[in-house]
Amino acid sequence: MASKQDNVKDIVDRKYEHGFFTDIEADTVAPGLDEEVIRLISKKKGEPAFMLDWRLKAFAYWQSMQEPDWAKLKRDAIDYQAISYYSAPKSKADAPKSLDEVDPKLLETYDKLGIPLHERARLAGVAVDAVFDSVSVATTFKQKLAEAGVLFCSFSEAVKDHPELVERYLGTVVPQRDNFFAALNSAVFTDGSFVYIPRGVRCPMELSTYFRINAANTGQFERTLIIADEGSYVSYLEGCTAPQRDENQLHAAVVELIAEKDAEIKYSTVQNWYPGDEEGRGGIYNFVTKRGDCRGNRSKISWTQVEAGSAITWKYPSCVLRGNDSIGEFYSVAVTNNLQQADTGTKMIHIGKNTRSTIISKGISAGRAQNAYRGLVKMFPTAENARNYSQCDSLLMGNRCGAHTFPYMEIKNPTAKVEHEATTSKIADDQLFYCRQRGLSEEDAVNMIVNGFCKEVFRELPMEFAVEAQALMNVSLEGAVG
Amino acid sequence: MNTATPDPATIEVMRKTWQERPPADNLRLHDRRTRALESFAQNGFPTTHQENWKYTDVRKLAASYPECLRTVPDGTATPDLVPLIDKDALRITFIDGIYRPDLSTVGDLPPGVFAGSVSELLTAVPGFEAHFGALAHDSDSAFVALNTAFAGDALAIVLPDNMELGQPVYVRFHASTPQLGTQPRVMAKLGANSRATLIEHYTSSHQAIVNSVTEVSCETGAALNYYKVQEEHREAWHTAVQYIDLARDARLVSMHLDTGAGLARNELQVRLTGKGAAADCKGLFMGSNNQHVECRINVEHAAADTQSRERFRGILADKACGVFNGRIYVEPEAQKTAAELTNRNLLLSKGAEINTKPELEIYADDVKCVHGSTTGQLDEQSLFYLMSRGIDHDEARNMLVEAFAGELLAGTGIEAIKQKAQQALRALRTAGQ
Repeated sequence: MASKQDNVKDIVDRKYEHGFFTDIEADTVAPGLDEEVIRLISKKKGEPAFMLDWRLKAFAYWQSMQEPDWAKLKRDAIDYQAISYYSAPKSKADAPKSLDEVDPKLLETYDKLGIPLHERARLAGVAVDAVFDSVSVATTFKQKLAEAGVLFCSFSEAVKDHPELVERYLGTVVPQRDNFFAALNSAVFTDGSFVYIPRGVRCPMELSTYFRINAANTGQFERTLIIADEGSYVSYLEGCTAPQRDENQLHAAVVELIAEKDAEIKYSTVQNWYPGDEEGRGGIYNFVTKRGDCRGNRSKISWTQVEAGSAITWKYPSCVLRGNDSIGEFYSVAVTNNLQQADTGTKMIHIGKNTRSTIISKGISAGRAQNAYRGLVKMFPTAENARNYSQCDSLLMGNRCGAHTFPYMEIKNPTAKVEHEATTSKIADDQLFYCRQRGLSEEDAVNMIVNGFCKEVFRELPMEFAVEAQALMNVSLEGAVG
Repeated sequence: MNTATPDPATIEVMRKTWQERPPADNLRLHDRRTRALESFAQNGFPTTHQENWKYTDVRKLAASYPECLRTVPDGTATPDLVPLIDKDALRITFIDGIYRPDLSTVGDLPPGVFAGSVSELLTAVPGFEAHFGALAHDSDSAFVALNTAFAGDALAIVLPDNMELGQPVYVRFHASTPQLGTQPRVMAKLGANSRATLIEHYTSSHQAIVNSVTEVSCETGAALNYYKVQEEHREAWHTAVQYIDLARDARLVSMHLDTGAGLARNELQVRLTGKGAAADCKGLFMGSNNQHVECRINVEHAAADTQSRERFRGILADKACGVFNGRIYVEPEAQKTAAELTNRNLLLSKGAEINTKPELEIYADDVKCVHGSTTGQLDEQSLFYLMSRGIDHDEARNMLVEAFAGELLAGTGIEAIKQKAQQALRALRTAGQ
């Protein structure tokens, strides 16, 4: 009898097994994905008909696609029906009320990164009503951009205010059926950034998601579209160095860049999503499709990324060099520690004449992490005198991690020149000895060597970002040596 | 979609062909072959959707396979073959997959040394069959499984400990019957501290399928010089895999020359299983017209203090397509590994194509691994330099192509292979113009 009662008690006490939050607020859609959900998302966002059609088409493709498994990643299967695909900004009720309630470890990290006090609250997701000065900063900022004619707004606003631009450019770089995650994003994306730089305009300031009002909750399916019209220039920063709190485990973003004739886009990313704990529990799955299209002659797209967070990073920012004399660049530092896994790299597709591309990739692997560079350089028969130079270096810290390089080169034009170099090694004992001999602690010495290793990439970052990235590197690799 | 897996009916035809062949006398050998056949029946031929076959489409080859396997070789043909090496070598000849003692000169071998057919060896050394298919796994590819299943009489070479074989072993595999499918198989075992030179030479006079597998295990301190020359008929299909295992302090020096076949795919699998083992592998592949040449090398460092160096070059003219895939794999135990992989390719004409992928997969931290790859055409400045010294354009071009290959050929121990390569280069240069 007693055992029977125990059984009942067990059932009563059992936590909700399916793990998701059912406290449905007015603005949250129940988990699951079908056409109705997509119609609902589109309706809630008040989108024009073309957007709904576009989403539904993407959803149809997605249903016929299979999740890719070629990347060197080990992970649990994702249950796409257990995700809620639309939720308005998270209720402030369950966010920490003040910094005192935030995990002290997180605060310690902020301290090390030198993040200003008022910023910490925002990053930790503390429910504050007004984020200090940011409103006024943003206002002056918006004025300046408006004077230059630059459009910089959230994707939802763009769909409402500039549907003709969205319709013309959306999906022209990353089509709906591009890959499994891009198709999913196309069907369900909720928001993101939209930038349009008019003809001949040099954007007066660096644009950053960080300043954009409304940026706090772009959600897990983010969509960014940047168009640089003829002869324009823009530098765009995404993310920030501070670790960010996020409840969503799966992130599937899409970024599309379009550079018309003589235009230049510089896109810098610092990604530091929650990587999971030391045992690899939790952590974000980051599956991103980023692609730039150098459509016009003499256009240029440059990607710079510092990937430090996420349990899994699956990301290949690419350049399609269509215009003659166009240039593609990729500078990347990927750091993995503990049980993090990264499979990242780039694709340089040379179609136009005299196109040039440079790839500099630095991978650092510590703990039990796996870090892979995967890249493609493709020379079409039309790519006369095209040129590519790739360099991939890996640094191993500890004997339980792995570093891998998978460069694909497909060359169909004899006048094209492709060069690839890669090295893998650890921090040499003599390098360490040299630094220690001059009175540096082992940790400082390692930091110095690692920063030197990453220098070629860091110097491509905008100034403030570069300083932060260095600090981030030190924090990410803490405890990896010694 | 691209599905090259044969339909059940085709597999049934191949299975029947297999059953009609005389079974191996040795029971273990027979079992091993049966397993290989079943593995093939289950997996079928690879498709370009498989990573290792991404750039090589075998659909046409797969379609011809069942029929070629049924072709009965003309066992008495005695083609007039010019050997690559005619002096100071143990010459072993296989015509259409059949060992021909009448065309071989083995002579008196030192005691303990064996070079001949496996069936002959098995009567003298029972238990040797355990080595058959020990390194070559059926799951590696359909072609490896097919070879294990259908290989006729294999060549066995056995060297006892401390034996230094002064003469090279030169093996000629020639296919003379049109539309024949042959499955050459070589098994070699080098005892501790022994030394040997093995040269495999493949030729054919008609369209044929040649699918070879070589398994060599080198024991402690053994040293192997391995050469493979492939100059099949331009309509032949040539697929080959060599598995070479190196125990402690064993050494491998190898050179591959691929110039023939309509579709050629060679794969060298080196495994450094003992501390201090080292491998130095070189390869030169060329293609013209519509040739498709794939060259693969995979070196696995499975023990500490191992070293390897891989240098491969490709020269492609006309509409030829080249594929290079190199991989250095370092296991967690293989600390203090030093490995270097380079691949350089020369595209001589518009329409020529190369797909290259030099990979590193590293799980140990105290290593120095480097790889590099370059692809381009002949350097304009070098051409100009030569022409400014009164050398005409074509001659200057020839000199540069020869120099590109020459860097790799320098130091090749067998003069005849160097000459073969130069001969093929001359043919290629006229094709590329």
